[in-house]
Amino acid sequence: MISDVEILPSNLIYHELIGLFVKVVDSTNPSLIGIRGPVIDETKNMLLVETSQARELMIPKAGTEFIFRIPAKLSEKGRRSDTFVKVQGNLLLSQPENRIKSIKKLRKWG
Amino acid sequence: MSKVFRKKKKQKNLMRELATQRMWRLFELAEQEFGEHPERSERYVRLIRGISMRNRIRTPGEIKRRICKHCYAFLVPGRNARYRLKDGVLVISCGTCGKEMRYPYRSKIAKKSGERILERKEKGTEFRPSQET
Repeated sequence: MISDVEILPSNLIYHELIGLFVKVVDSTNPSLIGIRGPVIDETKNMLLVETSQARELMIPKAGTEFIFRIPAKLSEKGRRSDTFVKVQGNLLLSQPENRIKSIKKLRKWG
Repeated sequence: MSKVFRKKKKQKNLMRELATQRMWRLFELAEQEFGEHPERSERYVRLIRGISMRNRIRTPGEIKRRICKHCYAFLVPGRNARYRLKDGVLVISCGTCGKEMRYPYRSKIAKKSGERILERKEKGTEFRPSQET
């Protein structure tokens, strides 16, 4: 019934970020570095992350570098270990519904 | 088919594929979160609808039947929704807003049974299910 969801490093920035485990590696706001937890919501400029103390933190996408962990179940077929992908937050700056459409723009401008 | 057109079509297919994958992923998450955080699963339903509308891609039928058509609540059978089969129609009643959705199934057979009822009426041996139950 469930279609085979496949999140690759190449299509991560167009794919669903909610549910993935994230870690902040670099940020213009140094107090955010080191925050980790599953993403529970997404807006145009922010990611809502649930930290270990059952606290929800809003992290701005702009100026932040994330490492996403893609579970082995959702990774490339035949892969047994999790995949870790480092992403510049500026690439994710768009509403979650519109992020798919950014495929067009990227291709157009090379 | 021109080259530009072919490229456009390829991109469209890629977008469609990604959008359906995202809808399934959100659906899965909505199901997981319903027990502890029902408000999150509602938000994920909103996102499913957003993706489907913004990119003009159909929501898969299995997902559609787990979302209330009227109030967009995430429906879990036995918790906030009732699924009943009635005269060839699947009736889903939403526990949040109390409204009903009706999905006909086996339309050909249902039509046949309707014809049979007409025949019985002509003969005078009408079958009334409401009286029996």
